[in-house]
Amino acid sequence: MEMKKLVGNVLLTVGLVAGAITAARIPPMWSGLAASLAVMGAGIFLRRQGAKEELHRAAQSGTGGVKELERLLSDAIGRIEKIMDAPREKAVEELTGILEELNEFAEKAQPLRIEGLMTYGTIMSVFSRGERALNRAWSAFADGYENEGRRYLRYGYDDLKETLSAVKALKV
Amino acid sequence: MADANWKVGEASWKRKDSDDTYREVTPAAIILGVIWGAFMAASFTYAGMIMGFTSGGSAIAAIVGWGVLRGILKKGTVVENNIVQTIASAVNISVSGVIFTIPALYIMGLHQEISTTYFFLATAAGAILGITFIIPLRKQMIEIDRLRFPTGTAVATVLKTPGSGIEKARLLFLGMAVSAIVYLVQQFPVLGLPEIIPEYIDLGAILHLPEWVSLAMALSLMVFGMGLITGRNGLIVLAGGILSYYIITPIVKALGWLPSDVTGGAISGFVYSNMTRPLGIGMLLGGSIAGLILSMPVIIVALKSIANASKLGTGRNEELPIKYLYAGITLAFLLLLITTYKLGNLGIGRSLLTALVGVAWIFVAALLVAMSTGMTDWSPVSGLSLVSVMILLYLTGKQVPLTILLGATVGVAISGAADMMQDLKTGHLVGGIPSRQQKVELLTAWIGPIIALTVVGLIWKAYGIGNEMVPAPQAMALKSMVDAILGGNVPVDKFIAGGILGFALSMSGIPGLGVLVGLSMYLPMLYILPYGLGCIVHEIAKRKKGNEFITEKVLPVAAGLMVGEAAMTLLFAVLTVMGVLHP
Repeated sequence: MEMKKLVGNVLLTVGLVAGAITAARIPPMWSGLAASLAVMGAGIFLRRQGAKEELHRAAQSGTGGVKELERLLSDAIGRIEKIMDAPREKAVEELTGILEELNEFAEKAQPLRIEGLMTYGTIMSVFSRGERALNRAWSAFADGYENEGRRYLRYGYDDLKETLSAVKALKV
Repeated sequence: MADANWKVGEASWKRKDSDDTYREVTPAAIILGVIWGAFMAASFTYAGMIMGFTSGGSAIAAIVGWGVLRGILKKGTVVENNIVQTIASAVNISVSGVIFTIPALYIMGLHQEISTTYFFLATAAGAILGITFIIPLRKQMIEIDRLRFPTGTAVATVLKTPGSGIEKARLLFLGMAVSAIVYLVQQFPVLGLPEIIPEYIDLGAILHLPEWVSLAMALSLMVFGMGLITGRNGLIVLAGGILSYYIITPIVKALGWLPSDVTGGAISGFVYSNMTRPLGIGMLLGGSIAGLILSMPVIIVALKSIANASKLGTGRNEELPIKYLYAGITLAFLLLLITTYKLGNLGIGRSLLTALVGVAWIFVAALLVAMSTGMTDWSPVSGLSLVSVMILLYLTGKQVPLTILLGATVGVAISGAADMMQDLKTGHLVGGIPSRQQKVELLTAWIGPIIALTVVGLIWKAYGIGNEMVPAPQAMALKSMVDAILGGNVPVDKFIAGGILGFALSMSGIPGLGVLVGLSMYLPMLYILPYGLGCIVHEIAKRKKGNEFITEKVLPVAAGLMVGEAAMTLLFAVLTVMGVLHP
């Protein structure tokens, strides 16, 4: 863990423990709580700074952020293209794998928070809509409703492409 | 029409349909959901007033759904069963809001001061409010913040089992069997048999620790399963529990901050009741308010997204229109205003203030339970009820009947909100359409309180309430709360101090930290330990075997552990109602 974030975490923990103890007294020791909050405040500041720098580094090194998300989405889109007309059983099997892989999307999208919560929220919203569509496609195929399965496979595919376009438009 | 080729655990249910409309909201699903939900509501109302706890019942409803839709009717689908369990749990969940509050009026002899119509209106409105208030929160918590909602995840595993392959089904049923058998064996004393597996184990006594060290652990596989699904977030709850019980308790003891008559085994209980628990409630509130502020941009995105949903192509407007939220807020405001004005004789100004604060409080409380259940599966309803009663007593000029009636509205609303979020998480994982889930829930949620109130009335006539036969522990707890508040014996300073700490923690950049730490101080260690153990096992499995192992192996077993014990809980509730058991 990066030093700034580590120091921040230590200060936050120390401040919390001291704050909880002083607040637990009957009545609370307000001066002790105020001092603890000051320590926590310093910890929060360092922690947030460190976390931001960590996200930037992750985005630049490709361990998260735009590059990683592009790879993940492109891979999923490619795999969906291959099962557009596949038999039902094959579609269920392949979708299980695709959905498992997409599970990592949210974690890898964390660096997008640098762009602001609005941007992050918009991308996650479109992605999740697509994920839900693929989940429905899985259920429909498993239940034997091919038309519904193919319709929602297409919806999911379109939503993932839209997510990919939104991710590519970012300049992290 | 389905044929008989379908087998549990195999994605080989062959149909010739392909052109049929995909079954989702069907008369069979609605009728089955209402009937099963009503059955659970009646059972848990009575059992809850005797044993002191209830259960949501989503997972059991999902299994019953499969049994009836596919086993008997031969035509169920995954999303249709999602509708069954959504309705059943919506009808059942309001029980907890009713039995925590309304029986207290009977115990105090105040139930005749409010007409039955107001009881029905207030609780039914609460059921509807809980659902409407979380419309914008669904997108924020499920789609953007990606909260886990362990029960919702477990139910989705149950729903998907027939199509997930034989291995997952085996693991699910193995978990169910182990959990059900262990629970059954634990209940031997109730059945007049010797105790073989205790309900909890006192590790402190085994390790010869001092009396004041509370190290008892509930032997609950359901709670362990919750932890297995939760993972990392639960580790914060475990760490907070350790802070509360094994750091704060010895330090306040060493500093001499305890009354001189509190000694030995009473120390831990005293610190929990008077120091850490109220602090935890404050942290929960402060943490959730900070969370609301930090999430504002995301909530705005969620609202915009809902508003833009209508612009999508035909058949893809899957969001409940935002007008439902506005209608819900208006309904809440009018209901609180009319009830306060008519029953409280408070004058229009005070009634308006009560209605405004009440609406704001229901929203904050709904947000808090949704966050708590989303991150950990725990729902701090009793702590929120304490705060609700405190606020309402102040607003209504200490009018107890009116306070408890409005408290029932809040209680039903927040328990309904938590349940709805779990069901929507399930829906997301199986591809259910959220607006359909929300509409069926709005159409049926009001049934639950009516059943619960009817059962409470019948119990009152038959046996009385607050006696040896029907102890109603939750309502007795509320009565104690009311007495404490009226006596000026509420730790408001602890709520404020905890609120400040919780607010600061949630500003740290770790999502929901204030709520998680608050929850750990609010919960008894008895349950934190098995829950934390489950979280540790999850994290170790994830590091050693990877994410796929969690999805393929851990999740089905954990879901089974949760469902097995929940099913046995319902069975014992039914046996209690039938008079077979007398806990």
